[in-house]
Amino acid sequence: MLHIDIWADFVCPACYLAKPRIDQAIAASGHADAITVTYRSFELFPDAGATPFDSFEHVLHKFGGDQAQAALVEDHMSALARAQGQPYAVHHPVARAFDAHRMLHLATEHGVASEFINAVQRDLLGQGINAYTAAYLADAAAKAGVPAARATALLAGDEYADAVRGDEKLARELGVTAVPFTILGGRLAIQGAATAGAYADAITRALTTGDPT
Amino acid sequence: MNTPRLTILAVGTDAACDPETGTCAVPQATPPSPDNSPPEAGLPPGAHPGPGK
Repeated sequence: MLHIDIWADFVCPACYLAKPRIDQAIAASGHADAITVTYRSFELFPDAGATPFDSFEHVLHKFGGDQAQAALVEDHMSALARAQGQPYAVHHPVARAFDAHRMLHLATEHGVASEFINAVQRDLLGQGINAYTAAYLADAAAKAGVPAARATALLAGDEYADAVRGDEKLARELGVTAVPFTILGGRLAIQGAATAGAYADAITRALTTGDPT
Repeated sequence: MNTPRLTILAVGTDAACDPETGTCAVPQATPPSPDNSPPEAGLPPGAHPGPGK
């Protein structure tokens, strides 16, 4: 048996790139039935408000207003996504994702976390859709397989808030400096979006030796 | 999950997000700038920086 923990955020393009690569590596391992995955919460913008801002404006700000530099980064991100069949919206909304992460934990409870992540990231990062609203999250969760009444009830309360904070606390304790952050077998870690081959190699190593050295 | 002792694998990555800035970097596309710290500083290629504070 091998357990994989993945810290990621919905609005993280690198996580969007990594998700299908990890899925592919697991499927190709020949041991998919012996591998379990826990998707853990990580907010890149924990202080963001409910009103979305444009991701490109954030990138532009980080580059001191250098349009060419910001466009270069985003064009490259877009090319990486397209190369593996994923659409990418250079302008996608950024807002508080806490409720989306609470919903992720509910999706996990119902065994559909992977489906939920795929749907939200495809809409948010692929199409630039505002995936932070209660209406969107309830609909996406229901389509992924969460009972609609449970999804609606979650949004009306604070269910799984502690689970989200717990994941983020653990990430801080682990010293996570980049996401996605993937831990295989509790000992081997990969920071950032690796290639499917690298994830496959890490899975093989964790399965066959369990030895991190 | 208890805090484990981790071995960080030195594998090639092509994107990553920085938890401190919320900035996602694609190293091949981010040449150093004399005026701005590269957002991927301290990150492996392909990692995405964390929370945008």
